[in-house]
Amino acid sequence: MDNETIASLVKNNFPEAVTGSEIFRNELTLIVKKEYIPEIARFLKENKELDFDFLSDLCGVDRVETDGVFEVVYHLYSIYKNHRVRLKSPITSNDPCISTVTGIWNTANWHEREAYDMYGIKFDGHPDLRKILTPDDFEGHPLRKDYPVDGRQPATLREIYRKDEA
Amino acid sequence: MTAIPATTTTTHLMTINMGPQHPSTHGVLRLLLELDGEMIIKAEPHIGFLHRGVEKLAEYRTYHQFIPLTDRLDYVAPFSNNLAYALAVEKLLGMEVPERARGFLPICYGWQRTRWILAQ
Amino acid sequence: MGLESHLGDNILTTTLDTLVNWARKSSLWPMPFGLACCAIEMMAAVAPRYDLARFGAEVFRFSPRQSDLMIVAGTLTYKMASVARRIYDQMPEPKWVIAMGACAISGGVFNTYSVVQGLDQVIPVDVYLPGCPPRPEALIHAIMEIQKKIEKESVLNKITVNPGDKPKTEGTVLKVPNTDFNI
Repeated sequence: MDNETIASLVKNNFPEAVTGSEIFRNELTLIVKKEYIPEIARFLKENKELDFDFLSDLCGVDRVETDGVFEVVYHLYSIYKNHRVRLKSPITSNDPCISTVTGIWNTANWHEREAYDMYGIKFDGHPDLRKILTPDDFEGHPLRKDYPVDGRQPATLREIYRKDEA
Repeated sequence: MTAIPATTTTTHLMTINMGPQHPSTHGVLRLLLELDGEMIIKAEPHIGFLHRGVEKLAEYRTYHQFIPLTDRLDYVAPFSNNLAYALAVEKLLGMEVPERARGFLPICYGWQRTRWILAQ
Repeated sequence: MGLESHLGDNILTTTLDTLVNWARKSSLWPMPFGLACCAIEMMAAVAPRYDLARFGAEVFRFSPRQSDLMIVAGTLTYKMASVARRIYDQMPEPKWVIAMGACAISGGVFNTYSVVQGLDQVIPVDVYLPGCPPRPEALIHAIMEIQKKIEKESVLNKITVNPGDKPKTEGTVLKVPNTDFNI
């Protein structure tokens, strides 16, 4: 299925949800309101013509400086039909939250944990939302633009591990 | 004399920690295993022991300066990381790659893939 | 071995020194703490081409309890730091540590929130081996430096087993031959 057909199929079924679509370098991107993400995700997976059964990536983007929002990006791929689509969903930057798609694609479990760890985006309905990459006593969300790249917690380990030596 | 009661055997699941440093897990991966004898009933992986913040570093680099960092992502087959990154950047910028360079790519990718398989 | 402290510093103890140090340096059993890319170069050093077994390091024990040289190869993150310290503490004396690669020495390229900027914040290091990754020959050079260090030890000033005592020697920075880096 080519990109225009996919876009028109989704827009016809969810006219109020899709706020924009773009085809850049032969890749289709649909901008979707965050409340409709579970329905659109389920439609994209279960529709026989679209058949997007593989969630290749789910990530967050910090666009606070340019657009004032965070964004959750879903990359979908259909193994049988061999077509791709990208969904982008803007969410507010203070107290960001969005529904989970773990019930639809199981791989979203860890991807959403990473998005929570790195950006602080909460996923409603996630079975086990906790940190995955940073240590347990790490505070803050490192991939936000206002987190310094060389911010370290704690600043040095020398006091903890080598305090008894001279 | 009272009869000796028949013993009943009970199986308990043993939880062991296949920690981040272990000979068979190349690299660092922590697995919490629940075993019934030798059979693994449940395995809970814990990752993040080699999270180096490469995405954060990339925010402060140009396209060209990031190429050596992609080498170090999957260090068993580093050229494939370079390749994926270079293809993505070329697609973004709409660059046209010469025919001769493009012909070299499948050879390199096949070589890296062989390296990765042999390292398993 | 408390007898030599009664004997004093004479030919008996120096002969004992030579013997003990020769035994220790010729049978260094490394514990590879391979974390990242440098682990591949370490594996290459053990492979037949740059055979590390010629130096007595035949037995690459992954158990800290049975090894005396810990080669930390790769990036140490904060999440992994406590594990590294625990493995180091589990090794019996005498023990030596090689910090292999730029990441283990000082964090390397990764000056980020999750990477420890140097292994010596966590454990005392004997030899620093620069490179990203260092070639297998450089790792062999580091092992030879450790051997030279072992030769200089003496049974008279042995390490005591109390934790918290001063480490016996300072770390030596290994100069990679034919380079002008002063790291």
